[in-house]
Amino acid sequence: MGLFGKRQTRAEDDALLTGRGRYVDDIRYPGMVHVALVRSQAARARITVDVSEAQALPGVIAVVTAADLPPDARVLPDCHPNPALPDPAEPPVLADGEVRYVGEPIVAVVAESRYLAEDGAELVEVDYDTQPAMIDPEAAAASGAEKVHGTRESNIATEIRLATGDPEKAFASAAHVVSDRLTIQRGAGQAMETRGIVANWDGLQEKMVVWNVSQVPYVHRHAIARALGLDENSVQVLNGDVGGGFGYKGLTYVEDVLIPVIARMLDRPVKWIEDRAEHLIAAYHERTQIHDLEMALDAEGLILGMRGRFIHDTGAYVPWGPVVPLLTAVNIPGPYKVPNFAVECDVVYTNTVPVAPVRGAGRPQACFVMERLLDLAARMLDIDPADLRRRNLIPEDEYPYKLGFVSRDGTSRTYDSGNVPALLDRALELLGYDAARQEQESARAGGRRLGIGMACCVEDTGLGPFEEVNMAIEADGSVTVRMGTPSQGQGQKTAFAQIAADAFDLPFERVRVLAGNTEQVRYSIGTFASRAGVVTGSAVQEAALQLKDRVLQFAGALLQTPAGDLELKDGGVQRTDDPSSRISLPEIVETSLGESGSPLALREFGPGMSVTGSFSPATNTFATGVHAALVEVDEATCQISILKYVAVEDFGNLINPLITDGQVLGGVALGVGNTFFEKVHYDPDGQILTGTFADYLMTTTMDMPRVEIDYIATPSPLNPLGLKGAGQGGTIPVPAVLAGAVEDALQPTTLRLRDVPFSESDLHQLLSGAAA
Amino acid sequence: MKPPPFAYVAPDTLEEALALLAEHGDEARVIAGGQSLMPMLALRMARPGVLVDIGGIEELDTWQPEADSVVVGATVRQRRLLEEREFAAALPLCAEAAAHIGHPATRSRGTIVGSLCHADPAAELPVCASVLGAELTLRSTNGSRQVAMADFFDAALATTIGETELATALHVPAQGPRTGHAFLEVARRHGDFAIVAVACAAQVDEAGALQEATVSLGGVGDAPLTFRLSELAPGGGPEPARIADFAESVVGRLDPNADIHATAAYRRTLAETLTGRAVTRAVGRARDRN
Amino acid sequence: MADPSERMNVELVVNGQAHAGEVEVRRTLADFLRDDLGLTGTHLGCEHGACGACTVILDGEPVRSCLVLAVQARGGEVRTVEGLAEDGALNPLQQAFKEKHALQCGFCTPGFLMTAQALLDRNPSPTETEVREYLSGNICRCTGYQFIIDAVLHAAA
Repeated sequence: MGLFGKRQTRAEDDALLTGRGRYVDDIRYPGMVHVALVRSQAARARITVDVSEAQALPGVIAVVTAADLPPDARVLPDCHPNPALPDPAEPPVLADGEVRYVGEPIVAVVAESRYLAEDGAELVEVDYDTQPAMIDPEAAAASGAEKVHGTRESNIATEIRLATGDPEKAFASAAHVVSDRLTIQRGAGQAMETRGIVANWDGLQEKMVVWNVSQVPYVHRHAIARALGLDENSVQVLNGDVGGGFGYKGLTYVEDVLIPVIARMLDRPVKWIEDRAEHLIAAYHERTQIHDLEMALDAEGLILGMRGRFIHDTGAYVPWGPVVPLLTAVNIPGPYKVPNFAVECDVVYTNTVPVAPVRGAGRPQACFVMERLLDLAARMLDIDPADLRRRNLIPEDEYPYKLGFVSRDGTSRTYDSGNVPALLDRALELLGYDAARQEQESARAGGRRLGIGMACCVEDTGLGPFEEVNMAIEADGSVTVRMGTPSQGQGQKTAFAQIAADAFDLPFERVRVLAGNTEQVRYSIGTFASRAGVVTGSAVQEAALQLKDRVLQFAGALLQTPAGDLELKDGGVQRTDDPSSRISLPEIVETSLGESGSPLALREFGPGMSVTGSFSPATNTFATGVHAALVEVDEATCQISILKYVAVEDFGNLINPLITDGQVLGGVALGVGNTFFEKVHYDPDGQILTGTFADYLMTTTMDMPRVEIDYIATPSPLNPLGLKGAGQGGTIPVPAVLAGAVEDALQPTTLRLRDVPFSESDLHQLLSGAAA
Repeated sequence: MKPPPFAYVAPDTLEEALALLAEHGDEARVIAGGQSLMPMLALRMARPGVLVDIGGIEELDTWQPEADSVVVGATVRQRRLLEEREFAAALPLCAEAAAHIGHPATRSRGTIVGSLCHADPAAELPVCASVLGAELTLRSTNGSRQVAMADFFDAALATTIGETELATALHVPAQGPRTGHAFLEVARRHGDFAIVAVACAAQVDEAGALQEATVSLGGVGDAPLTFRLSELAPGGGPEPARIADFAESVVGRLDPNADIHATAAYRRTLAETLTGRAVTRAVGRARDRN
Repeated sequence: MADPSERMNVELVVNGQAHAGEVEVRRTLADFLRDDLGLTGTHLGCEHGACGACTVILDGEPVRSCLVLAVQARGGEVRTVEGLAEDGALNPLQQAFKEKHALQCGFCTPGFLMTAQALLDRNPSPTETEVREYLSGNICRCTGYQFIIDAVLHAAA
């Protein structure tokens, strides 16, 4: 025992550190051919395509247009049906006569090498009859706007309404009302590994073998099988090492269907590796929302209610239904008591890249708008911002706390456990809040501008419906864990080995965890929404308990001892009162499998030491966190330095704090990018101006502060190990914290930071317009 | 993002290189470090018929101090400004700027002269070369000419080099005594092209009083823009006020563009702030050397 | 005088081993290493020189192998991530990356290792600022850099 909670170094690392990782671009089959895609250069146009020149280029094997695809493979069906979005627009696998965003795939050129495929793609002639494009979501939402999908009544994909209590009454009785218009801009996941697919029809096994980078391989298996007219079990989806996911690899893209279809058409292994230029204009984006919100408070600064509406830009399609705006809507109250709450959202189609979850998934927006309103209220009421938050946080003794409306999963939204006031106190202590306020004062006297920001957040994690785990004891007494949730770098092989090793009293190295293959377990949902650690982790525990019970019962029969008097120790089972009465795990396995031709020794147990367990959570468990920062702003150049950054997280019980530290740090880096750098710029015609890494900017070593991390655990009552998800908490509060800190540094002025990300230049513009 | 097809040749001698350029004319494109050209090839924004790689011509890979100048060959890498103490001492302004050029792995390959020939208006070395009064030697099979920076930069990413010419060396005139330099820039991130870059050379007299300051600014026009204190703020008066006047008049002569990274107004503000700071720093250094 | 050609022989030494092959002149060093030599430890993150994932050491200098043509590396000595381990064991830098949890998905890791190795080869005891500056051209989306910086400092100590 004792690996749970340990800062165990990772089982994954040796291969990755020596160049022996195996990513999708490292997969090679003899005779493999390569695809380059011709993508739309217009945001909205009717198109005609001429591929004759491309077809004639030596080395080009095939040029595939929409008309060449089998009928079942021409449209990508909705892979994530959601009752809140009854009739989603479904994208064509290859654009057929019409394009709806820059980057939309039109033609696939298949050639002997990627170099030649790109040469061929250049020779495809696409004639664009351009139409007015809807890029601005507010304009798109207006009645009479040009329609992204001509057959629909409007650009409103769906409306979301959420309410509890009586907001009208709350506002009528309020001592103070603060309101603001707050905007979050479009960013992107930009994993260092782009997307990629290798598909090969295995004629011997009569199955389509697909290597890809999916966070949801079982969803992809379903979509591929449907497009090819195959049984699901005739499709195998494999993930090798995956170079980062960040949510947007958890969706199904038209290429996920297209490449296997081409492999079947040509009966050759086909590889498509998205290059960065494609990735920047075609991988799903997230975050664009415009909020008009108001908050009612009493004279003491207690929140009486909130109401308002926001527009969510979903781009040309809805790859994951309305999940992002739903998550925003339900997360706006955060860890605060908001007894009366009503919010409405229009989900709007635009002629832009489809929008789907990117790490944070709707929650950074929710946290940003809530915390910005709190900062505004603190200033208006002249209450210290930390104090205002403290007054409104849900007290420890009110958990579990019901919010009065339903969650994303349809259950009554209930925070299972938490103690955010303690997180806030700890964060302020780590920041040295009082001293920092004094430093701020004295610095101001010397012309230096320091500012402090803070934000509190919740994250719904570990959602259902289930994960399944197979666990077996091997002939040598080691344990193999098989699961369906693939890793994109989170260290699941390490964390889950820690859980299993503890159950069997085995050293870490004696447990092997396998994933990334839809033939490992029969059913799985996927790795997203900070769920694998919680749900698969709990399934590992469940499978371990079942297998342990089987081992003890079996050994009990062999040792003629009640199982309750036995323990697993040092790779064997022994009597607790007499360790000399003992049988090793290899002996147990050998006995359980018997000998060829002879009856099993213990027939009633059936063969082998293998079980399949699963875990199905009742609902989400809620992680919480508080971040705070001290920044300095150079007023002359508007350059911002983060002097100190602290993150205090409640991820429940930690399997491996080394790994959760990494999750927090990476999350903060994305959040810093979301605050200052990461913005997809569209021009009014729908062209993306951030088509290279020279223009789409991400945080570097020079921009990241050293982050001080601490944890306070309120274990979840919803799963056996008290786990909560840790995947996104690092990202969610960062824009709220840093915008608050920068604004604080520049007080007293009328400057308000209502919009993220903001550059130095944006800050300069705001300062120029702000009154002293 | 694979380069389009082209032919490649790597001459061993300068004469061969010049002959190749003469033969292939506008079909030819010179590659030295390739740190600007390779991304353009990957994006298929450059389509040379023939790539002439001058990386193997040994005589171009040297720098040397001469009587009245420092001569830098066409393939001398940027990293040497940071890694060779004597070179940094010979070209202190360029060395100070070099830390802002890309990153170690691009400075390993990227050349000083190549950066000038690429003529990015927000790059670091063009403003340094401009403020230092440097000249390039352009050679072709027809002969050789010297061209000053002001006559070399034509527009953004465009120079007056002829299609059969090769820039073989940069000549940086020796800087007089009691001269100090400074380079400052604001970029979105460390290593990015500057939003605004300012290079300054300042001279003080024997008493340490400010005599002259020249600044060259990048990121505020199609090419580096150079201004002299003696022309824009000729009056005497207290030094800080004079520097502030100078910075203000510099900005008055700028008409910067806006792009996704910065407004024109922000570029003006930076130009004024960085000009003031760079002149002050350069004057301080000139005094230290007095 | 040499004539321009579209294919050319490339001979170079990678991790101490001599390799030769004829390639299209437009082929990048990165593709040559990965596809012609099968050394897939070098990763392509952006192919336009802006992420650092493909960094290798060429003739002692860190370079972006997507910004070097294979033919430009003729006669050169290349060191890739496959050449770091010593006698089958992680070298001190790799070991520090493991101990400090300086990698998550591992995709950018070879580029960070080769850049950091180049730094330590020049400067065996860099300061934190020097480490940050030297690694500033390498993008990592998972780690937030802190543990990478810690690992390089630890390896140097």
